[in-house]
Amino acid sequence: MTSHSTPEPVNRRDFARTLAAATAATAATALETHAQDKKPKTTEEKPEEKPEEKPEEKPQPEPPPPAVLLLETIRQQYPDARLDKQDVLQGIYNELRGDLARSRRLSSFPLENADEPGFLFAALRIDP
Amino acid sequence: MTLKDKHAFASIRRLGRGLRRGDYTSLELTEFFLDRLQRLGPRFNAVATVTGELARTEARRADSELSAGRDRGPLHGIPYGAKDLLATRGIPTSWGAAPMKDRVIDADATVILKLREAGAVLVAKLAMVEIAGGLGYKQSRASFTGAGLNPWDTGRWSGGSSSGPGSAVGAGLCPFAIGSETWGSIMTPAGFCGITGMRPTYGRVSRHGAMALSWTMDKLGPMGRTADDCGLVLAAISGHDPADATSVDKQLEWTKPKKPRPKPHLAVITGCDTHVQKAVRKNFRKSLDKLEKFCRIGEVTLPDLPYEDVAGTLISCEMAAAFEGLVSSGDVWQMTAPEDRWGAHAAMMIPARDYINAMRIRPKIQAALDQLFDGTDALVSPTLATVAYPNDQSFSEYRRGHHASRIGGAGNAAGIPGITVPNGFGEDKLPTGLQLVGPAWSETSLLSIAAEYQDRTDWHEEHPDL
Repeated sequence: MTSHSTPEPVNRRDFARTLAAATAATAATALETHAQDKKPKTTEEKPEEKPEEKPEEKPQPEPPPPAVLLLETIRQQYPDARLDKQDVLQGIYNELRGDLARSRRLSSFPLENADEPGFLFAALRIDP
Repeated sequence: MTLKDKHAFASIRRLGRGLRRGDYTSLELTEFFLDRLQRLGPRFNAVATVTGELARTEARRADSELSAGRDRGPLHGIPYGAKDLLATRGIPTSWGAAPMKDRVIDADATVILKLREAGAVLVAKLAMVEIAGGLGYKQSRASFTGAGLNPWDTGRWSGGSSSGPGSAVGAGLCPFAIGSETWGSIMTPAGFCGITGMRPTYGRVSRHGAMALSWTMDKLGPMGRTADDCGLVLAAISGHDPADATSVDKQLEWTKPKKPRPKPHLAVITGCDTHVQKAVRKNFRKSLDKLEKFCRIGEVTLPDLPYEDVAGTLISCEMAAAFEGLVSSGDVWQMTAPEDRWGAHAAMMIPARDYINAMRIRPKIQAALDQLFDGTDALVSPTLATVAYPNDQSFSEYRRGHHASRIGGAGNAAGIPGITVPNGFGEDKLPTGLQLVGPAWSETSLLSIAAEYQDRTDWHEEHPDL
């Protein structure tokens, strides 16, 4: 029922490694930023009069792809050891990628603000 | 009188005439079909439950009423089968799913009650794809009753998700059956099994007591030998039901076969026979020649709208809500098809925004299709791009490179009716079908055009040699 583009393969080890690395990096950056924001700024502190230095640019960690994050959400929300089999993970991952592609297509359909959802769904026939 | 094979494949009117002439009783007719269901049903994995005791009770009632001069109409005393997603008091209702195979819902669906009121005799609950295919099955082994096997060749699929109704009517195990369609589940098995099937307008038939896969997409409809049979059944089951708020007070009137209006205007959907099997195309062209004798035929291009994305999103999201319990309980891991065990998980993650956007696009699809019918009575196309798929291949593998028109997704998203009639044989002597799709509430017109086509052809009289 759903159409998919050719999916890239995912295996359990790669998936777990990608997710762990990406999540850890994202979390570390988030914590670091959070810590900086929280650091108390006292009035005694005077800015050092040093020539302006550009802070070293740290490479931003790549966030995990949305399909991987959704896959992990599924594993958390519906925990079951059978979910962790290679073919099952791959199958769900393919479905998720298909759903995300479909989501992008739906979002690209031109809709005006006044286009209401047809929640009161009924078959339509305008009297000719 | 001994009932013979010819009775197994007879129309409702013909069976009714024999009954009223006294050639046989409803009980004899019922025993005849019960025997076929028990003897031949397993050959096609067509049956979930044979309802012998109930059938005999209903048949005896039909006989005693006829003897007393009470005739409930054309379905009086006629046996039928119901897809096993319709609730029946005291009889298991499995939805095709292993975890529910012994579950009994202690109520009758409105359709079952209406058919009882019309005098019909329920002889079997018929097999179906588990959860009506909503979990995303990709091959035919997707029911605890086994793959639906085609009566023309048991190496082929009967189609789904109304697999049992398709093969049971196709094999002459019951004169007619009730199927359901969310997206293709009546038209596909009817097309593959060489029978006539009708998808009614959304709201024409109450769905109370039927399994909900998608509240805004599900339709119940007849599958039978002829368009006239489908008209008789639809007349009995249609109309408003207080128990289903979406059902509409539009009961179909179909007492006699109706002639279509003079020269109805049909439109061939552009490109609908381009990517189909060679014999499907040839049969379609021959059908157009037949139709041209009593119709004007033009051509129309379907507006380029995201029919499949809308229909797919609505079904996935509504299924996810309807069956989250099946997933969270772990029961889903008991499904027969491996892909059905995890097929619902991804749908749980679709955001509400997608569902709402699909619902926002849907009225545009409805309006665009409705406009297409200005001056056109029906769109025509091959029902399916290929003959029935082999059971040892995945669907996508067999149909690779083949596709018919997009009217299946479009018609179901819009809630408009369609009918399929057999129109010949294709590869490996398997049936092919002709599809007519009309505007909302045009069932009478579709049925009359299809009936006229069947008056001029005899494909609907062909049946497998069992």
